Amino acid sequence: MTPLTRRDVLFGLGGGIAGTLLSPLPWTVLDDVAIWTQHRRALPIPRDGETSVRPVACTSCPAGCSLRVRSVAGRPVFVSGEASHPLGGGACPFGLTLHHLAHHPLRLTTPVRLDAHGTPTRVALGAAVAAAAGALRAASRSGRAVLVLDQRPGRAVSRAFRELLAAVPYGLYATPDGEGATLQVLSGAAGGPLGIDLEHTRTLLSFGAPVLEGWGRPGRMLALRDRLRIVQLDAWRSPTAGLADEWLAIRPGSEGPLALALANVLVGEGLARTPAAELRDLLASFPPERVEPLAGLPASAIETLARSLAAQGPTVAIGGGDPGGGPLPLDAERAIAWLDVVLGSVGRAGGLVARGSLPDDGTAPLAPETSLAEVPDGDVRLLVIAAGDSGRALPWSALGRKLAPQALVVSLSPFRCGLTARADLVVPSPAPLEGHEEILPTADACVMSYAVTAPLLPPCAESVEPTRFLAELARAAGLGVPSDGTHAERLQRRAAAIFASHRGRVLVRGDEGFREEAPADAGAFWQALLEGGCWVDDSRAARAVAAPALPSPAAVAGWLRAEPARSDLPLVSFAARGAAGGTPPSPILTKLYQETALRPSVATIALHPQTARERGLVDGREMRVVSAAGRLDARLRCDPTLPPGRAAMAAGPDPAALHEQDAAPARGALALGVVEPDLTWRGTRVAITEA
Amino acid sequence: MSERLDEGLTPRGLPRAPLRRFVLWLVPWTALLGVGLYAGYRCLAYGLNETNLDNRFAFGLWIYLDLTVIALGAGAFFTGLLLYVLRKRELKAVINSAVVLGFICYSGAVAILMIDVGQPLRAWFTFWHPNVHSMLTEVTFCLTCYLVVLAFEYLPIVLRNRKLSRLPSLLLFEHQLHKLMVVFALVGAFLSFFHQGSLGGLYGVLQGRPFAFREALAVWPSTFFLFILSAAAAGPSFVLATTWIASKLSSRALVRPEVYELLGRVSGRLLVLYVLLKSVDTLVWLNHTSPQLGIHPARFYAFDPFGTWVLFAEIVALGLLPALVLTSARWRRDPRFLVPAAFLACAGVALNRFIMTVQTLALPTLPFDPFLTYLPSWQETMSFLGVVAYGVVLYSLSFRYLNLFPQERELLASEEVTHVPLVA
Amino acid sequence: MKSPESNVRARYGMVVDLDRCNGCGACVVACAVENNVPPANGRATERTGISWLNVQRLEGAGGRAAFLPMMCQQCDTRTPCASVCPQNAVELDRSSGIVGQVPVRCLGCRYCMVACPYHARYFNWWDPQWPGTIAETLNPAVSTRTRGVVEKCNFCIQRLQAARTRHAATGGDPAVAPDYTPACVEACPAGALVFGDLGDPQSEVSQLAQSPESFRLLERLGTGAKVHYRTRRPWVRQAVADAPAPTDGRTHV
Repeated sequence: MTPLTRRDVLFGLGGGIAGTLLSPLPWTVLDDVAIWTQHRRALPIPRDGETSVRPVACTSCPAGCSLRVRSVAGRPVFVSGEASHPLGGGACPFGLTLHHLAHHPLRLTTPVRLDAHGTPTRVALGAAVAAAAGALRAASRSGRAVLVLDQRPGRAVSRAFRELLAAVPYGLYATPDGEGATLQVLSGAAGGPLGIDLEHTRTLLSFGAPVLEGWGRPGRMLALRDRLRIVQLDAWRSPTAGLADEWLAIRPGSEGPLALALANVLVGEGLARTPAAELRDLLASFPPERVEPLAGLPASAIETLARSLAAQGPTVAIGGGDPGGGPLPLDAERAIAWLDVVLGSVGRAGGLVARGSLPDDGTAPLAPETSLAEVPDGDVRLLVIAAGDSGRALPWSALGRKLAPQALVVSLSPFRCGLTARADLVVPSPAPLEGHEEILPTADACVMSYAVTAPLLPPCAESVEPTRFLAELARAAGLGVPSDGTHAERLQRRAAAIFASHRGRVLVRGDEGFREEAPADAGAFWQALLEGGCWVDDSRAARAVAAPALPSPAAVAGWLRAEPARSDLPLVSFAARGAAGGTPPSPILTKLYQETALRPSVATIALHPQTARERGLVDGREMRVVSAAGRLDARLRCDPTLPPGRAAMAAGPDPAALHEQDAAPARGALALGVVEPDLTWRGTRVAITEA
Repeated sequence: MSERLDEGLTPRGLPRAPLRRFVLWLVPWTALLGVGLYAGYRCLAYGLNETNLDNRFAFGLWIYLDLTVIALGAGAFFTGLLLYVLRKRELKAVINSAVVLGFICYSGAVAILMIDVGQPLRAWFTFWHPNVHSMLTEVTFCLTCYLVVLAFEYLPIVLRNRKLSRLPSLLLFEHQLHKLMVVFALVGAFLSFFHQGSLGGLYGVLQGRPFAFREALAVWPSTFFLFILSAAAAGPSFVLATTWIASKLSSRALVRPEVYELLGRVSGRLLVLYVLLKSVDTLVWLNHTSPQLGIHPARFYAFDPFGTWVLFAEIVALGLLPALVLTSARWRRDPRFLVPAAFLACAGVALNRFIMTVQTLALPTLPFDPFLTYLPSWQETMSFLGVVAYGVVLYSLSFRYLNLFPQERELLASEEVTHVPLVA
Repeated sequence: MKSPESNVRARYGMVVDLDRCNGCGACVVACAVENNVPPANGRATERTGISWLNVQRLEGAGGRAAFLPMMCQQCDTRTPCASVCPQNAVELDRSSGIVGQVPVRCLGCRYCMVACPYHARYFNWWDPQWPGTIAETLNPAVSTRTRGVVEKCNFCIQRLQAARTRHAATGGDPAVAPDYTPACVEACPAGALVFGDLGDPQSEVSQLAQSPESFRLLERLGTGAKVHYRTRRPWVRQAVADAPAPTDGRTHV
């Protein structure tokens, strides 16, 4: 055999390469390489299937906007608003991601105990109920209170809470202040709930209420936008201020004196529609010149504004605070309520009108509604945080101060977010789209209405309807509260009571839209509701209106007191409705809060460029922000639209909700908020230095 | 001279530094190469979020430096063209070095590109689904083909190593390759012409970026021709500069002064032509092209640090000035003017590529856009420095073991050897 | 990707009413939900995030704000991105006018991103990740993308394909371009987005696009964009259409 030469090797090699290229091998490998590059890190491949579209209502905030959910193979994949809904359409980014919430990393599917860091450990329902019952019995023994915080009052489950609390020696049912605070002040005087006849209003004067972004039922405001003149009085250039017909930048905390100054001008120039004898002495202390330094508005601007309110009526003035900055002080709301009285907008078309109530569907005694601020500090042995989100922020310290030593905090929300993250036990209710829920009108609605959203998805095996938890708690604590059936049965009974009242009209959902129809019986009515219909009341009880309470002398004195010059800055906190409440936003909302500059995140604090310069602070750098309640770091964002002499910071969303993180430190304005005894935190002041 | 361990591998009769000293020279560069490889690995394993590139600065340090090294590496094709086609025999003295430099520049650029793209495993898609309208398709094709050509031009230089040339088959192979050098040079020149131009065309066709967009001749914007010309002008200067550096580091003359002068003269004349055409192009662009697209040219230079001084620096300080020095016979003879002028010419090309890449992206396009800044991350800087280190190592090895400078031997014979080379 | 009805020459386009947009961001979120755009990585910023549709805030005097939704303008006559892609991963579909992106062919060279003057293209700087079990809500009609490729708005072309299927199944006229609604248009609560066939003179979008209040961004670049904007407010128009250079070069947030 001839020895192998180098030439043989070279020819063999060359021939082998040429032959391989002619074979399928290298081309298949290249093809496979292309496919590998498409599936690098196990990308999820969603399953396909039958498409269906179902109407539901959003439960993220009280607006309850009507939504259409498109599902594929039984899984919701897309949500859109329903512009043509009779109660007003439209959906916000929170509603459009409603179907993500059941899958949120912060969603709890079983009862858990939370430790000091907020880390959950699973517990059995029985153990959770036993612990709550034990706390309830301890409360009864020691004369401490059992407090239920219900951020969505008026529901059937709200009634269940109140029934339970009525059976407890010292049971308190508290609701935090909401959008309708001004209306509530007037409602007391009117003997029943009031709404705003926006359809006939000409001018809406908003004292910081975010009327053009997440207020009332947004669809209603959108439909009326062109017909309404909106004057926004706001301490910062809120989205509403940017879109309003007029924005007047006022100093934080000056809502009360400003309302009285406007009333002063109206009364003084004979433009007041209603005589206000009680007010005369009070108004004398608030001429525009006096209020000019308090509000930061020239006296001429106050006078011009007042005249325009009278000339372009009907005018409604509202407060109510905002979701991130919290409520206005009660006395400020009283001043605004009196402005409405002076403007003559109470009890007339285009103004504040009486609204009916839902018929009662039970006879058991109920604990009365209290304001959370009226609950004494240190008195609560068992706190139950009801499921149901108002979409508004409530700092933990507002609740924490109410707790007695060794208090037990139980939350019924399915999300480990907001207040629930500080609870001891969580007994999670079904997540959105998994249970029945009622849609009640928002504070501004001038007609009562009722709708129900039916579940789209099966509930998790271990999630617990609040009514079931209450029944078990009552049984374990030996309370004689009659069990009134499941949640769905309660709702059905309520619907039956509405049907039996023979009031209003029923709008049934059909293929071509809504049509008015009279259901044959209560069962048909309930079915119509489950299929996305609604009931709208038509009676407006005429009511005589007495004078609302005056602002307290202490508050008035406080407004008139000269403020010493201070080096720290008032903090304006803000958040979109739903961003700082108990429901975590979907992680997709990084599109708004992180990947675009549309909404500021909690990681930044804003100052006017001049204010920053005066303090030697540089735009874009990390700052240390300190208040009497806490400290944190934030990046400085110089914003020329923010009036000088104040800082602005978002109260939400919590970054832990947008990115999977456990026990992230508290961030944002809520961690800095100094909560007063009246549970407002608008007076918070901060010192900012470079970190 | 004492026996070196690798005496048998270095060219016969040419002094080289002791092996230990050479290894010590290589150590820091190898370490830098290692860091560069790690930086590149991070980008491939964790994704391009390791860089400071973003959706506005989609091109950054890497693309800018790729364009610069490709322009400077044009010395390889241009020297080849001058030697094998235009018969400038003096350039035989530097052609090997030019080829090695070209190979380093192109292989380094391709390596960086493989990290720069989001899906390197799909690099072959351009060959499989080419878009004939895209300048980048043309660049990809010509760049890869030219890298192959450079490899074939580098191979004979390697094969002429003392040890390797003992194998008759390899000697024969090298001889055959050498006979084909003219073909390689022509093919290389053709490919280079097109990809240098297409790299300019990359920017010139961007009608969405009025700062980069230029008038066109048929499908080729003026930047196509200007990039070719600037690369041809900078190439010889780069060869000159690197030869000078190698000469300084090896403490000896590597080429006759006439070679420097020829390189300088060629570079200078092309640079003069380039400056002239570039000035005409700039005037047309500022007065006609941009206003037609709705942009007032002052907007291009309204943002710090890109004031009009940038234009002046590119065309006058780093363009006209070195051109004047390099075209003047008197100044060309003086290395104190010649060498800095060559460096300035290279810097001018680098500045031009920087402006076209970075300033284009920094400038706002929409009325409500901000002016943007970008600083490369350590991964970007280190991976590029790793390529530089790779170049130094490969060039050092080539200088030590291969006969890069044919005139080295005869220049050595006519000098007194008083000291051992510093490095190589 | 060749469409079945290649005889139809539709030019789907959009008119955005800047006087109605209130910056709520519903369109941004609906787009991300429909098209399986992943949530941001913790380190992502405005410049490295992905939002095919994003809303710009425009500042006016007295604190007035206007909002401008920006998406791929679906350039028609001279598509800057299509001509520059080295692998033909960008295709202007003649039957619908939609500039489609083929993520499985994209090399990630980002040349198209440099070419686009509207900054409408986004790169996947990270591997996409959906926290919790949110991946259960992904839309099966849209492929998910890996890291290292470019993506952008494509007028919800999957909805067009579904509409064409329905149109054919119900015996519709093959010469007629079917109506369909992209996710952003469906989601907008203010009715600021109008969508349809610009080639049909009877369509609402066509008539709005031709009204004197309507204009296109960077009109003089001649890209033939199929997204029109309209406003009756002079200050908004001035801020957006070919404005003079900014003084400090920075936007206000």
